[in-house]
Amino acid sequence: VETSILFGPNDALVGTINHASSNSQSDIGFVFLNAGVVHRVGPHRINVKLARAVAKLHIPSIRFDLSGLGDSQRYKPAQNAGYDEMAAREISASLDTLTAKTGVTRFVLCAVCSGTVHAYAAATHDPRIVGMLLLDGYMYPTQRAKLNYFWLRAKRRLAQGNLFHWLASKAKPRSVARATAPAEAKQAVPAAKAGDTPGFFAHRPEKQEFAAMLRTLAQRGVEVCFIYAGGGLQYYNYPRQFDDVFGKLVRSDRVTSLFLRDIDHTVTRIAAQQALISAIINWTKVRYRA
Amino acid sequence: MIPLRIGEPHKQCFAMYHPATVRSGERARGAVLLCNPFGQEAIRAHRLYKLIAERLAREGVDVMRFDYYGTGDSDGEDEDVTIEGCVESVIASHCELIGRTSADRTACFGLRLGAAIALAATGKMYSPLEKLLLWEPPLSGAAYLAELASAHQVATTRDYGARNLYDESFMRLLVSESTHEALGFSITASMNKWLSGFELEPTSPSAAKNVIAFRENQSLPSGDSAGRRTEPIEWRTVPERVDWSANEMMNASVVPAQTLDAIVNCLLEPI
Repeated sequence: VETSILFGPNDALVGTINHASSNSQSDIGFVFLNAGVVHRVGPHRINVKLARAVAKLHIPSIRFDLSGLGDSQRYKPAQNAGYDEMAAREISASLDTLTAKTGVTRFVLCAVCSGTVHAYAAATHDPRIVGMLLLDGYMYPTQRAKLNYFWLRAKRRLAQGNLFHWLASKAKPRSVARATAPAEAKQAVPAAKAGDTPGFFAHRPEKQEFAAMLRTLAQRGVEVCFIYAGGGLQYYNYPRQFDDVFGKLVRSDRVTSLFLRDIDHTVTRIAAQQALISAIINWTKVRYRA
Repeated sequence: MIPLRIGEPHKQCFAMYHPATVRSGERARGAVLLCNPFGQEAIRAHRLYKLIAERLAREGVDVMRFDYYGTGDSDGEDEDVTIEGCVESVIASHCELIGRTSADRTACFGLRLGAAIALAATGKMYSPLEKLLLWEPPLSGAAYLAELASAHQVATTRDYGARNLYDESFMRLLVSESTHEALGFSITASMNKWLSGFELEPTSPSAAKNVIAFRENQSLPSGDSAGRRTEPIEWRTVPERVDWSANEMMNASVVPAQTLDAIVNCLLEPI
């Protein structure tokens, strides 16, 4: 059963609660956050599908819009709080609401893209948050990842029949390459650099700082699963990339990663949606014995 | 703004009711029901629909927007979506709107497939619509399906980045998918069948008293010109072209300002 409600400061926020089944309900609740400006149903309705999948494990959930996004209204923040601070407070308000409606007291946040930042900020200050599933947030390319991506592009150039021209242009300094490029190439829109791919989110704090925050969360008992899609190969492109960056720095089996090569950033294909749902359900069963 | 769940238990639709802003003792000017487009287009149009609703409500009109059964925040899964089910959702939402407002004059707005669904629903509503506004209604269901298939292929090819151009088996997989899904949403056999037989003629009949259709200038049905009335559908041009069949979403909310004005003004025009 699902209900849609107003809640939070000035009743400005709109959310939909999935009550799961009342029999043998879990003490865990899921919270689904906005991805970019997509409203609470999530990219390609993935939040709705995930909510119904976890409900089969007797886990209730809320999916809601942060203020100014989706159906939720803007409101005047208390003490001139910034947007990130407001988002963290609104996430806490969603936990209060889910507790009031279903009785759950511990929460797992599920976020995609920019939502991962809000999830992370909320988890660092709200002890009720005991888990996070973060899709395509906090990507740290390694040397191996950069080489892999170079090799992928080389294979593409080979398939296009212009590998040698491409390699030659790579060998030249950028200014020379541009000066000697064909006229049509000069007029073309510049290629996207890492970090500015449209629709892709590449925010990341310094590695040591992020590792320290992860250790703090792990010590508090928070289970964190980083999921990476195969659509962002320029940032993440092999299964153990996260371990190569953080394995020695974090050293906790509460912090894990998954590389789902056949899904894209917004889980466009239905097969991709099913793969993501399956991965999240498996993780939930293992981590919370659901 | 009041969120609602309407319809039978376990088959409920999410709806958002925007009561008219009126002075005490005054009645609303009328009521408007907003019908979503299909799939990814509905997600991209969500903000536009909210803005239409808020502006109309500020002008004294009661407004309801909703998700069809099996879509958005409503009960049901992608595989449950049928055009007949969508028409039922329109009728149930229209009933709810009339029940909440006691409006004696109602209008309906639909974008893309939402326009075709609204058109199909008009003859089945419990009270006739005064006005039906269609924006970019598909003229041919088969052409609409082909457009979705093409958009799906473009999106999946692009989104998988470097891999698609050398992995032939993966490319074949993407192509085969485009016959039964489009940009993340199932196209059920029932939908496919209905759309394959759908043709919107410039003179398609409707139970609504006034039917107005917006299309960009170059794509008016043959035989029409901007501003010329062709009974029973009055075709008008809009200045902006929106590529609705695209996969952009994360930071690509679509709110074409001039068309938003045109939609709101048209719905506020005296009937």
